[in-house]
Amino acid sequence: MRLTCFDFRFVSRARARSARIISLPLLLLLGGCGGGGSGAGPVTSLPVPAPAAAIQDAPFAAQAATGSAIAHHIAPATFDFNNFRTVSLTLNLVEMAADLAGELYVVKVSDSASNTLYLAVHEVVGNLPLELSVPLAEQRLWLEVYTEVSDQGAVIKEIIL
Amino acid sequence: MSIWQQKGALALVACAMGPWAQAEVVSFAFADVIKSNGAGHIDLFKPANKALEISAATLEAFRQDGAGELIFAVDVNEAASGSEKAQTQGVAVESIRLMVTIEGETHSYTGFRSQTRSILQPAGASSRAVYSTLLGNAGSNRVSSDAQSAINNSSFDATLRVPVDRDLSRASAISLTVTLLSTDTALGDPEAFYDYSNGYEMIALVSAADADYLDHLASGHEGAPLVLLADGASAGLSWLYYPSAQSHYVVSYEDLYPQRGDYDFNDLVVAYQVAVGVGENGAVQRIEGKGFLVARGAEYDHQWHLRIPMPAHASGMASLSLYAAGSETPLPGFPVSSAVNGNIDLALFESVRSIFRDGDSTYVNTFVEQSIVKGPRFEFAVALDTPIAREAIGAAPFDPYIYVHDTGYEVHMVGHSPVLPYSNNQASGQTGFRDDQGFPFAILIPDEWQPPLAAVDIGMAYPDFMNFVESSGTVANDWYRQPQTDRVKSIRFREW
Repeated sequence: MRLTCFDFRFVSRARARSARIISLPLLLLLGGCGGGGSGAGPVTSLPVPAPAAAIQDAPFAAQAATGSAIAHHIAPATFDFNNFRTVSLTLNLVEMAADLAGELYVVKVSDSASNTLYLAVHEVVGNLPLELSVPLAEQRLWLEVYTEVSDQGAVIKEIIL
Repeated sequence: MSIWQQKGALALVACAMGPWAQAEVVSFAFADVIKSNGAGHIDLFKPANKALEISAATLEAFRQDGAGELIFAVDVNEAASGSEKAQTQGVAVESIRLMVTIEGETHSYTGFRSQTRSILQPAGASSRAVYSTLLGNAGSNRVSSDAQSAINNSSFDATLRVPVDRDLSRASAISLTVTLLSTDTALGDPEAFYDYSNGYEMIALVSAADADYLDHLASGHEGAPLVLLADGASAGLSWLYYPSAQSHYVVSYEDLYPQRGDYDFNDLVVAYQVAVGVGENGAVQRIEGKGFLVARGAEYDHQWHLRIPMPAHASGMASLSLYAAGSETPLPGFPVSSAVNGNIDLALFESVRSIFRDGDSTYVNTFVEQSIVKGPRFEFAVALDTPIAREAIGAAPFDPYIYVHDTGYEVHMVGHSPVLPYSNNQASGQTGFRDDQGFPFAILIPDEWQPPLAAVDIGMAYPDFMNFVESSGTVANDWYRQPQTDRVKSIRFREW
């Protein structure tokens, strides 16, 4: 399953005090996104023998009986149960880098909790293909470009998933 | 005569040879350290080994040996959290000040250089700048060409060179003040990596030969983010972190496969992350990973694998280390190395039952009354002989699976196939990983998830789980954030 599901916006990233927000046309080239893995594999449900020995006896006090939420349900046959999706991006960094002067360009992609998904130093910037793994619940990523020149701050862009 | 006594004797020899002598210098550690608050005030006349006598002439001999520089070595000793690992750790230096008092007059030196730098934002600042960094690892296998050097069997890592243009042989006091940079860790990496977060960092004065050895060793350089060399060039790889440098995939299994079992999804719970190092040409040169055991609610014994599909021509060398919780010293028998040819299939935990227990119980972190037991952790690194195109390598989250020793079955996530020639899956025709109602035996979840208590069905522990499933993931995709709190085991494993 691959979806076209991105919306790129140039907005302020509140926590990045030094951010300079660019007002350029979209710099990201959409590469696509989709569910992780290769989809449903062959479904095989054959009668099987019982386990060789009794197991799973609780060595501690028994938990309160809770029943089963799934006992009478059938899962969708094509659902892969993945809670992550693969996000493929092609970043065109030329215009973002053009707004900065430096010999080394740091490119960073992070999520809304500031977890770092990609971090690199480039001497030349161009199209940059990336394949990232993002929780389904994550709504946005942040692309940041900065140089070793301290007074320039960073160019930051929000990527809506 | 003990080794320390011998070192003391040599130091005295250096003293006796007078201020202009090119005395032999023997690297020694200081009694003072850089403390956990990031500050160190080092008295250069106070060696860690009290049997040594360090004189002004000794220090002058070091300066001459260093061609006009005093060369210090630092044992980088950081917590293996976030993207830092036992094999790759770092701190940044905010400032140093060497104070030299000669005949009542004090001279101050603030210039210095280290082997590496990075671009970092200090805590409380609004912009980034270039700072010197110190990289290292937790290894303690250093070997000096001088058998009496304090470098031997130590874990000293990075060098710090301070130019000094005065003869020190008449100095009455010399001290070094080191202040590590407090970085804005809220920004993630690289700032989170180069923070100082652990206990003290030892420091030594080293000979030029030992300094050259440490510089060439370059411990911790390979896995560190955003490494710039002293000449300004970029030295490091680009890193893709899966799922990120600060978070983990959590994979959880039902081990009664092919029977469903109680569906509490805590038979084995493992957290892991993988970093893929890419060169300027976009090809993968290195793959690193780390992770730990979170919970285990089973009698059966499990072997946990991480399989990364690779093209057939891929080759390289893999290194694996296991650590007890909280330790940065590998368990006996580790690290182990093995050749890689084609697919990478790492058996990262051979027998979970034997290394992850709660006293006599094989159930760990699955019952209400159990105290939390931190699980052992692993680190691995694969250095590829020839760079491989990223698209030729399997996609994250790769293929984390278990082999159940007791049943002979392997259990993968939906969409994968059995791979072990000795497992029972192929022989019994059990090659898919859904039960007869379409439910999986392994699921992958962000690390905000907490495992259900023993015998509590995951759908009872997480009321939105069935909405998520029945909508094929289109609604309630944050189901794992809303547990019935009395039905899950609260484990703060993200902080491990």
